[in-house]
Amino acid sequence: MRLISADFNAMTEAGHVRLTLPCSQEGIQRLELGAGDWAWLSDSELIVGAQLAIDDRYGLVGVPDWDTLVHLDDEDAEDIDHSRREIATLLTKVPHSDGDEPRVFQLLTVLEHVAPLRTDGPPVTLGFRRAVALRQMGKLRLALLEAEDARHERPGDPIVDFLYLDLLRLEDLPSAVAEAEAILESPTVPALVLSGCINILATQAEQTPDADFTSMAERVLGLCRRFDQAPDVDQVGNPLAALSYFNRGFVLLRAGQISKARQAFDRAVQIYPDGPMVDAVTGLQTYDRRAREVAQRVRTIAERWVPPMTVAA
Amino acid sequence: MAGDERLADNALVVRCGSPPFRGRPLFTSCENHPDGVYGFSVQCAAGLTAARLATACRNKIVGVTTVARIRQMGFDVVPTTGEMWHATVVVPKDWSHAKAETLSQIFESVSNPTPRR
Repeated sequence: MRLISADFNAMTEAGHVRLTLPCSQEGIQRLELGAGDWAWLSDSELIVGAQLAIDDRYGLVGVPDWDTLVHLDDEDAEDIDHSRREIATLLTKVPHSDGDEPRVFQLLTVLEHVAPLRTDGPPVTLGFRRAVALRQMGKLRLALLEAEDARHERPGDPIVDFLYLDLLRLEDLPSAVAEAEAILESPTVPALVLSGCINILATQAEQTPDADFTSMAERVLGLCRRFDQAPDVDQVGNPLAALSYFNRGFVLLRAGQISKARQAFDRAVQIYPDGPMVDAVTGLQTYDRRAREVAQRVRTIAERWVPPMTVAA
Repeated sequence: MAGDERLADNALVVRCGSPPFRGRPLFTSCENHPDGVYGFSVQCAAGLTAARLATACRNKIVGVTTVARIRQMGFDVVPTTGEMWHATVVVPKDWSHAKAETLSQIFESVSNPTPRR
């Protein structure tokens, strides 16, 4: 966790936390952070995500996102056994509910600071699961921060890589494209990661000018074939398998190959009939603004993907 | 400074967090405030209760003392720019860890009835 010691007494008129204090500067220098970066601020009783910024009068400040405030000294920290039971229940709950994610984030943060959990099965980093919770809460930059840390802890873990890639796609598409291209140079990319790369390049394809679209479309469709042939393709699950067909459908639609596009959409719906915008997708005949809107909505499949996780209390 | 008036001795001083503030000790919470004084941040205003001053804090526990007690130790409290009733406990730049620790002991631990959300 990228943590900076902060004094929440030292607040500017705008409600920002002054970070020029010695207790804050040590962490900022150690982590090589500057204006624009995100980090967690804590006084050991509170912790909150914040973006660093320059204030003309006060110098470096943190602009807190108070939605991510967690109390490290409340009843969750005092009754660890209860908190462990609650998080174990929430993390293994079926069906998953986005409404639980703020509580998941809160409990994971408290427990990490007070009494770290043991975890069984993938993924094993709590930072990763906190990234998932933050993503579901709409805190994408903080989610990306946690996912980056999880990647350092678990290099090459396909579940972590998928989450990281999709967050990067949402926050910084050019960087996501560069990252995907670098990953794809390897001859052995797990199907889950291929799914993330397809989603990135398909998103990029939508924004590609007509003159460059053909080569981009071939690139996406080639990746989809690689995905189909991946030895572990059966392990990605129906939603993400369907997403690869949705993505190839949108590319084919823009390429004017309507019949093939409809076949891809039909296959996607067959695999994942409960997916978003099913009726809208099957009715698409031309690649227009409506189709782009539908594509954007369909890609929330990736944004809503939550991996299984069990916790040993 | 935020105001030219001298704070009354009986004005209450609130520092967010649980005394003696182990998470960010007073010694490492000091810096030059843009108003031109060196010290650490608190909430202080004449006539306000501790509970009212504590509404500036998100912490569930706050430290409370008076301006008089701080002055008795040879330091001062002055209003400075910042959020709500921001003030600075002014200390010498060359003060010691020991003096900071002693100062932290005069803050009484009080539950914050309405932590800011």
